[in-house]
Amino acid sequence: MKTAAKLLGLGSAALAALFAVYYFNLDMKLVRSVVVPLLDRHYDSVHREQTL
Amino acid sequence: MWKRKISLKEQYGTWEHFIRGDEPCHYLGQRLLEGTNFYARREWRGVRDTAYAFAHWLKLWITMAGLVLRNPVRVAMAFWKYRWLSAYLGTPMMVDRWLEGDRGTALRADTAAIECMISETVDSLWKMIRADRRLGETKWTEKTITFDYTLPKHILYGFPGYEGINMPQYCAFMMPLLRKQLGCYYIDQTISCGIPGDMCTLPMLETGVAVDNEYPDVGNIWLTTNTPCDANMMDNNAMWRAISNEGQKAVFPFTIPMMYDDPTTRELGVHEIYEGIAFMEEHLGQKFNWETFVQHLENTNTFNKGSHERWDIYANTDFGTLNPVVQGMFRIYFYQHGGNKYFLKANRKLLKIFEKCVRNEIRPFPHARHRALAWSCGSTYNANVILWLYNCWGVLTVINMDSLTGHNLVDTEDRDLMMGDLADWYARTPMRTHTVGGNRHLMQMWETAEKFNCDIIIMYDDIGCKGMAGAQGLLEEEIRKHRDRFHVIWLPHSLMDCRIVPSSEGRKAVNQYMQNILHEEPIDPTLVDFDDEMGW
Amino acid sequence: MKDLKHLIYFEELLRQAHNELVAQACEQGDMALAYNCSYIPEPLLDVEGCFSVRLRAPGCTSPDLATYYMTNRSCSYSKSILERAFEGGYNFISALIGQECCTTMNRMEQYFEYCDLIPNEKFHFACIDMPMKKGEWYAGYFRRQLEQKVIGPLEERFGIDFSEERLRESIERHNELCRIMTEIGDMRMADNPVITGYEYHVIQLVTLTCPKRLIMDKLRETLEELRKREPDPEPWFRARVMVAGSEVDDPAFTKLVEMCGGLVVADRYCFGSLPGREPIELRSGQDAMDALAFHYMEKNECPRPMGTEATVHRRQYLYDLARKYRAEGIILENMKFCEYWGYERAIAGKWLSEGYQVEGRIPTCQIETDYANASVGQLRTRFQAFVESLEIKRLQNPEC
Repeated sequence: MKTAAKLLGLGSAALAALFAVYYFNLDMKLVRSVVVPLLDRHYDSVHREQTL
Repeated sequence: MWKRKISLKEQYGTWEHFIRGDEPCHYLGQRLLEGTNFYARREWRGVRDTAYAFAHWLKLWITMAGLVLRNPVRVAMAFWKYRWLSAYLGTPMMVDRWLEGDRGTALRADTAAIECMISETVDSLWKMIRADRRLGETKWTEKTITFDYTLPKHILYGFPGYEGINMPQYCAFMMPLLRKQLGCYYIDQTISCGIPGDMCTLPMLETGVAVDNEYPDVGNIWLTTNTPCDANMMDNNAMWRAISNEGQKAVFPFTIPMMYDDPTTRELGVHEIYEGIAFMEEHLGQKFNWETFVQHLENTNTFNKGSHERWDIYANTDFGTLNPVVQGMFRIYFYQHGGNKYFLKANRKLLKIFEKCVRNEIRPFPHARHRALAWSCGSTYNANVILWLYNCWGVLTVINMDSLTGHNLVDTEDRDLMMGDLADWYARTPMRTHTVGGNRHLMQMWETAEKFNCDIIIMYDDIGCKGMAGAQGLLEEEIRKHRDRFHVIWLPHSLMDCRIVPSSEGRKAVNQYMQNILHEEPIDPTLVDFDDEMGW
Repeated sequence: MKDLKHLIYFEELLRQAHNELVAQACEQGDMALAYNCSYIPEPLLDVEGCFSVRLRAPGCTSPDLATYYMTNRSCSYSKSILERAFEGGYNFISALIGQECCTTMNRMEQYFEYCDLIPNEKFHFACIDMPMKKGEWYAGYFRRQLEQKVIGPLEERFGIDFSEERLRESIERHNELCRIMTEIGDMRMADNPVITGYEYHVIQLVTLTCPKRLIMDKLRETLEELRKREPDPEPWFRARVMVAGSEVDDPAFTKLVEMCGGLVVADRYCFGSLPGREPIELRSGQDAMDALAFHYMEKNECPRPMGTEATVHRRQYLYDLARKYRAEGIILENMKFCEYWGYERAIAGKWLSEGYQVEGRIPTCQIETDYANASVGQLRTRFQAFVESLEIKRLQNPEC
């Protein structure tokens, strides 16, 4: 019973956290501010031969 | 720091409106971060619909995570290698834009269609990554075949055990939908090679991915095509070196007649299908399986019958429940793939939702003041302008030109008829109606607008499109002849390159018409004028 | 060099589409069958009682009405043709044989019908669906398109005789013209040619735009004249160049290149002779229509044909021509807004400069033109620089 309650509590907390991420658009804000700029920096550093 | 412009009380008025999410005006524009189309807050749609949208968002991330989990190392290598793959991290944002303002059955129908497209995309991305020689050859490498973007994979269903990927779709076409600056990047790569910048931007984008040598190296065969238009035909020349791996792969040009409405050209269309089959038999060392092929055609017919039913509902009632942008994208996606498992599942789901709306007389788009037909080719970086039209001005686009492609039913009893009907499918690709085959296709817009009981025609004006440029005067004259019956609003864009005609210019053209000609007030004043240049 | 006897006359003929010879032929009851594309078989339109006219719009500098219909983002060749049609410059034609070779040209041709531009009740507009691959089956398809869209309607409407006999006669006349033009053209291969690129361009255009039966005598005389012509003691040019590209129908373009010191030794463009002036072969067991369809499909070097073979072959063809005519460099041209040649120019420029899929490298100069040659100053600068670079290269590597 206690375990179930703990699990329920954890689940609810996780759901609430995920909902916060969802509602405040934190996923896209992170992708836009951190992930994509990092990736772009890497892509820009790669030397490419033009293939036509 | 983002701040609400419209207070909660002003927006919702009562607690009931807040719970149900049915406030008179959604004030969608106020959620945007300044200068972008990023949301400071996702949409509150009432308790039930927000929970539904949240669940859908979770499912989306799980689906995307599923791609990574299939082989985390291989997928990470792909992310490290391919710039275009990073655009898919913006998928949730694209979905948010496509669901703007949706409530009730519209939300459910749109998420069903979007789920189908995303599942299909993730599946295809995985199939590409697992077969990519650059990430290491696998048993799938030679079992995967590259198709050109507008070439449907129907004949592949006669070769069970093989997979086909419309590679330029995932590596190029999707870019501006997900992150518009990537479209500009690849176009610049093309221009840096000396190809003139005044060409249509879609083939330039496809070529740019080839210039950077970023197409995965998959299979030993490339099926290319001349559709939809001249520029797309020429980009195959430009991409030849990259995609054919310097001529090492066998290339089959699946050419489609230009004058495709002309019955004398049908023999060419049929011939090419048989030639394509013979080519694949030769290179795959496998006989064509007519049974599995016909089964696929029947599945595709099933989907098309569903589409016809849905179009009837759109044409004759206000109960059509896919929003304009999802409706259009769903058909374009379907065109490539035909009736595969994702589309058949979505078809069943959508038919149920549509039937429910008809039975209970539910109007999914209650703010609609006008019914519109969107004609010519819409842009990708501003794809959801068609939804913005509804949310801002109540102009509901009930059908668009590129939906009406590949929808004829194929006779599966008589082989000659079957191949002729299939040739018709291949000929009527998205973006072909307004580019080749003469002027008569363009003029079908009047009949279509009548059939769907429209009072407005949204005429997309792609400034790089030579097919449209050549017909400009004809269109202007025909519009004048029909001016008592329809309002025609020209919506400028530059297809894939957001710098040439920014999204705000397109919206401005509509705003001017709605305000100065129709003298209407916007449904959502926060959407009338906003700057999203720095957005995705 | 001594001036060619008929050059001024030929230049005069090129000043307008409805020139003296065209008017004469029409008065004599011949029907003018117009076309825009090098896929259309000339001998088909040159059967007895008809003559082919490839449309040009000389002197068209501001196609305002055409711009209304086709915007300022369309190829200026097509717009200029449309403008000239609005002006009444093609009122003499009985038919326009078009094909959907490119969208812009097709749109332009469709306006002839939509706007009722030709004041002739019997005016016929045909639009052929040209295949994008080469081979026997496709030649057969092309033939069927010609029969259904050109021969059938013209037989019915105008009573034109397209019998096997008439077609063979037309092919034979065409072949004689080709032999003359090929012999004249081959003179450009000499170290110090007796003909300039400009002169050849003028003559070639005349063969495309005037009734052939009315110029054959002058062509024969010109050939005789050239056989005896003495070249200048020293070559006047600084470099030998080939021009490849789209619709180059203004000899002033070639003159500009030559004024900058570059002798144009080969003309691989839509109005050029390479390809275009090869005699048509009638193989055994083949009828005239088969021969025509096969020849025009097979020999054409338009960028349209798709597939590995066609893609590689086109650049190999440019390279081979350059070697044959001993061109030191190639001017790759595209009409602004031309989708085919915009891509083709860039790709060919890269392959030939790199020596990719060809035996060696050839310097290229890539340019974009307008129909009216508006930016002459800029072109002159480019050509001068290119010729100079070729000269320097030759001085540094005399063996090349």
